[in-house]
Amino acid sequence: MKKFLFLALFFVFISSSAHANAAFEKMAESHVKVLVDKAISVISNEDKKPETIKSQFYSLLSEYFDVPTIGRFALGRYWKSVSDDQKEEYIDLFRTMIVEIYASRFEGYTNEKVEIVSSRSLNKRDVLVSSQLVFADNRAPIPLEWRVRNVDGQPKIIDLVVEGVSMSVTQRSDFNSVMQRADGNVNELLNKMREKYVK
Amino acid sequence: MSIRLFDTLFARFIMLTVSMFLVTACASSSAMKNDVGQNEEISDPLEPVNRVVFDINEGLDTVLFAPLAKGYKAVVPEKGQSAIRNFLQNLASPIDLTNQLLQGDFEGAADVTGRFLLNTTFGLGGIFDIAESEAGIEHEGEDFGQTLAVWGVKDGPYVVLPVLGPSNLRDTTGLAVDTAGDPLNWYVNRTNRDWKAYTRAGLTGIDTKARLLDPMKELKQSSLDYYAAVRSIYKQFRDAQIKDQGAESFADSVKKKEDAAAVESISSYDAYADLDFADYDE
Repeated sequence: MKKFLFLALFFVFISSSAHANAAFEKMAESHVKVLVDKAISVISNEDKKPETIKSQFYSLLSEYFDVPTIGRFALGRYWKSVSDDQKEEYIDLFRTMIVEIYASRFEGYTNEKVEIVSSRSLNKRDVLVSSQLVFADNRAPIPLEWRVRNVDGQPKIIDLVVEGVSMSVTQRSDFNSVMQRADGNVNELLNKMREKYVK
Repeated sequence: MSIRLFDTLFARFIMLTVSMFLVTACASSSAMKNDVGQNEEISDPLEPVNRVVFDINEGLDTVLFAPLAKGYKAVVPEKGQSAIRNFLQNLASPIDLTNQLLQGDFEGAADVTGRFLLNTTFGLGGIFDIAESEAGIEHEGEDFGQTLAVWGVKDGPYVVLPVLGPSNLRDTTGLAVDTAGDPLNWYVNRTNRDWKAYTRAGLTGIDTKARLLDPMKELKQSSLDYYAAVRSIYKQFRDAQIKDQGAESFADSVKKKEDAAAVESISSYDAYADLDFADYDE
């Protein structure tokens, strides 16, 4: 009897945690959907001044992405050896960089659509939302996958994978190479980021 | 023609491959691994040489290949471009088929065969991809580098090939075998129609370049160390291809099964799923 009770409790526990995950998967899906819709409305807006697009992207980035987590990941093992002030400056530059890169990337936007396909849990706190970029003509759609983290109950995007290529992993390879060639001196990286992305 | 394309190409690749092996053997004592990710370690002992070749390729790109590709995109209408791409893809069917079989992917082999038959006949020699548009069988490129990977051969050191660009020891070997084993190359070689092979190689190059023009420009603009970014993307992209999880397969399974679960199971993210994005100060 005791055994049975234990089993029963166990199954209740399992199903409730599975249920919680399913709920978060749905949240993650709509999180991505809302972000995509908002981003599209930003770039298809009448007012196409770069400053306007950049400032709107900046707020979308803060609201929908967990930038400190991505930045920390991109710096990899060097993160530990960096002072608090440098960390703060690095994360600030990282935000500026992402906005700079993506604000110019959608200039040729011609009515592509993002369709959510499915989602699944990668682990206790991360969900992978699969979507595809669909073109107006007959071109094959491009798979886009979003890694969404449960941050205190709030969904935040921490990675975007395009055709099997992770933006976060690529960023990490880039920064790590710069750090390695600068013998681990983070000031070198900060200077390069400032030079390239602060305008 | 005394020197034949097949012989020269083949000899060049064999020499390259052998020299790579030798260099690697010498360098392996001081094997350097680049810490680029928890699961993604790219061995690049030839980095100084690779960077030089990379810069030379960049130079060639700027003065020659990029203008050519831009001209091609400007002159040839979209439909013509896709006709050329379809034709070239159809020509590669024997290689695709052989590699699908060598990988034990019989479903893939059936797809290649069906595509080749449909496109060669109703697709007017391959210029229309009616297998995809009418029968829903998507193209999936296979090569001997992928076959070697399926057989368990590791990437080996990263190599930047002159003109051809990013590769590694495994994929360079694969390229040599594919080139040597392509029945079309045998045919043009035996019948002194080398110009056909050159035309095909040139067109393939321009088609690839034209497709990569924008993404590469974006990557160059967005990265601090363009070389390292390309190296990382090459690795990630090949890993996805090897698992048949590229864009084509993804779209294929969305279309074929209309089933979310099937799409989940082929997600290309698996290789990085256990990247934990941990807090590094802990």
